[in-house]
Amino acid sequence: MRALSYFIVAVLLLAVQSTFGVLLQIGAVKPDFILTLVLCVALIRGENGGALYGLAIGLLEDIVYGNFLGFNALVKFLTGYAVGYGTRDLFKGPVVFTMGFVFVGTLLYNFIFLAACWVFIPGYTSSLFLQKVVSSALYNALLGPFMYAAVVKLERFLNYYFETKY
Amino acid sequence: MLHLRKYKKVFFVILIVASLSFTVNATMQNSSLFSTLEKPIIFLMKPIQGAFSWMSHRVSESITSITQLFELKRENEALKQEVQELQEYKHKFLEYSAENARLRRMLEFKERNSQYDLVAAEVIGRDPSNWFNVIIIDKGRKNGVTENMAVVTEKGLVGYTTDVGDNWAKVLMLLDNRMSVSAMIQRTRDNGILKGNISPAPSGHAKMVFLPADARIVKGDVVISSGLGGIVPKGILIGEVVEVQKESDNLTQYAIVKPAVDFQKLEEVFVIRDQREVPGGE
Repeated sequence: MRALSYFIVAVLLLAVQSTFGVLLQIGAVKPDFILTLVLCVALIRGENGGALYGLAIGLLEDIVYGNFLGFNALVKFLTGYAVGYGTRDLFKGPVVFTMGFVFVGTLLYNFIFLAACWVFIPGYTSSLFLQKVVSSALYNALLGPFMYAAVVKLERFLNYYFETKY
Repeated sequence: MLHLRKYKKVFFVILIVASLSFTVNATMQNSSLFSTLEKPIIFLMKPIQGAFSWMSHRVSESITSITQLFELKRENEALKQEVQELQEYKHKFLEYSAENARLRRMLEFKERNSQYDLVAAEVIGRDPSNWFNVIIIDKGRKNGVTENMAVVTEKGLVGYTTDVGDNWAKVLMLLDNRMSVSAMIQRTRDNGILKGNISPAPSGHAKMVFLPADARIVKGDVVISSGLGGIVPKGILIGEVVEVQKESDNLTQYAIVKPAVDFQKLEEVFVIRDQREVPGGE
């Protein structure tokens, strides 16, 4: 049930990303709801949950919108794993911390993405890469606390209804 | 054992990364391979994608509508403002056009009646009661207007001045019950006195009395001023006869006269200050 719930959330977020994303674009930067969700899942459920969710949602993204099967899956898998692993023992209470983790996580994702591009797509270049990366990280950092709160609520809901033993 | 578990995890991570790298590489090198993998999944995903697309369009349309809403609101307000301004211009234009037509008619009247010393005046007030037919005009003593001067329009006689101030004058109109003007039937030259709207004249009509009993007056005869009273010059159109009846004493008859002037729509009038000598005139 948990997997199905997360899958539904992923599907919905893909739809939201494909619609609201463009509408919420500021300059050349769009908010990345899917990445933010992966980062929040990684913060809450650790490296295994983050990596698995990154892998699943990345694959879904690849199939629905991608060009190469596994590209987004690989990048999101690594990002989810790295963020989950890196923040495993860190205190994540205050909103600012969540924003900071999402900011750093987005930076990491973009660097992994760029690295994957260098590896798999020879001659790939992106204009204003650093500017875009920082802007995108800031945008996602603003979304982070909301997404984090939503994932925490979803986890509580799932725990209460599907895992609590009476 | 712990080390083995740790390695197991690393092994899995590496395995997944390697697998994904392999699939990326494979599908990049051979796009038909991706198509082979893609086809069944897309086939399965097609309904979901269709739903995505539908949702995208609906949401996008809604969002666009919402964003357009503000723009449309602004545009609507601007257009409303413009429509209001244009309506105002239109009203002004119609007003000026009507005024222009009236003034032209009045000018023509003035030119046609060069024997009269006319002063153009604007109607600035009207007696609000139902019992008197009095208007106030914006010309008075300063403009040479005095009591008992005839007031006309290009259509005919309106009445005469009663009270005059420095820059205003009250005009007693034909339909007032206190009115009394010497008049004549243009065709038969029979004289009478035009009273106001007295019985049995219906609303908007005047009664012309003291017409000779043998006068052959018929409906449609034109009534003009006779000039006998000394206030209204001779020959000014008053109206036309709509009904002729014998008085009860059978010595005289009376006529119901429909005035040529529409008193409800009076806006500009002329005050006849004086009558000039016209060479060759009567």
